[in-house]
Amino acid sequence: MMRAAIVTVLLVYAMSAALAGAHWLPQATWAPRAPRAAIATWQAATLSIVASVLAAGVILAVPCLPCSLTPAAFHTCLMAMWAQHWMPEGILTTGFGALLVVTVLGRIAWCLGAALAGAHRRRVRHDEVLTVIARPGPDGVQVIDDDQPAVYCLPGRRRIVLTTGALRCLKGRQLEAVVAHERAHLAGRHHLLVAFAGALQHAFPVVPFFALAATQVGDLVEVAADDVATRRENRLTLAGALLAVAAAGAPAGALGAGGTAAAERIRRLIEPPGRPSRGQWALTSLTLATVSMLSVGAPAVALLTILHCP
Amino acid sequence: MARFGDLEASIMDVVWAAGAPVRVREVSDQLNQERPLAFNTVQTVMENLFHKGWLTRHKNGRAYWYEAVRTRDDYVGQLLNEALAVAPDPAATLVRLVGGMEPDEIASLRAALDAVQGHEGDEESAR
Repeated sequence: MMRAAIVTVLLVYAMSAALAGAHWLPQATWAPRAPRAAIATWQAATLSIVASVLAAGVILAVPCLPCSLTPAAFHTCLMAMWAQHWMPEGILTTGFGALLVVTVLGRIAWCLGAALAGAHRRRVRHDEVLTVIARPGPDGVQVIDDDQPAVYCLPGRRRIVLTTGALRCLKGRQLEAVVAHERAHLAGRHHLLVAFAGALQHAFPVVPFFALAATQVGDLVEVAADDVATRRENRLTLAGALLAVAAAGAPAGALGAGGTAAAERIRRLIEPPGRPSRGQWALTSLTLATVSMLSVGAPAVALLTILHCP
Repeated sequence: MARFGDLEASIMDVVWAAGAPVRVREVSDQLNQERPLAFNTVQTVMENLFHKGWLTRHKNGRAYWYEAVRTRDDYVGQLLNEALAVAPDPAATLVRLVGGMEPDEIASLRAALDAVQGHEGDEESAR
């Protein structure tokens, strides 16, 4: 049966994409050179996987879509759906397809909504506390009084916050370099990229691909922000600033989580990987193009082949 | 007239500095040494701070005595915990600047940086 075959292909495609993506994408050596392309690739792959599963669900639930709006075609379509519903296995198929679509969409919407709403609430509260305890500092930043060096930004409130501990260990233009990095996060709306990847990880914790995507996107937005910052500030100055803060703040026996990524990030500033070669550009473009095409193409082709009226 | 948030900050500063329950009159006198502020303004803002949970108060005689609910350091600690929390919920703030690097990792990167800076001349490292 044609429908069963296409649904199987879609589901197998989604699974292989998740497996292949989890295996190959983290190894892409061009990713730190082209962080924004890498982020786009992760997002396209994510969309592709989700869209394929959704398309499979739609194909199961709906025997055909009214491709033409003429009353006759619409009527035929309704008759086909009616016929499917009258068969016991038809009801099962429809039910399973609908359940798949509703579950996947519902999980994503719920997790994304909860994450965004929660983050917004915490940011508003964070901002209220900042207003009372922070002092205006140099370069438009807010300064809070603590020896522990920390630099962060509050997306949505457009605030950049430094502790006195961080101010103390930043010398000369290091402060400007760090602030430029934070401004790049705010301007690029990186929190939304991170929130979206995080919501999918949260929605489907059994799929390792989404967990990897969340980690990688989190690391890549840092690299992207470094790139923007070093357009205006010296890269060695930024590297020195990051090292100064890291050295002053490294707590004894801290968990090494993310440590390697941070070290790679600083190494990349010290020894820049250089312009991507022509071959690497080709590989980057090819990967991005393939993933984007598959992300739209696979589910779309499947829907178009199956969902025309008999 | 200062922004409302600035006034809240100034009032909390006075209350924290006092370290003991204070009346609106004392806070307003203290603030008036820096800028002219109506007693009523200070009173309104302190009532707001009470309703927002920053201050507690109790009545003794005819006046309310105000006190900070938590110390300034408590709030700083809370903000930093939120900002530096890597998991499970990083969305509220961005950048943990460079989290959890090992000391030897830092040392080797420092050496690499010094070497490159030596190469590229003093004008860059001096900036």
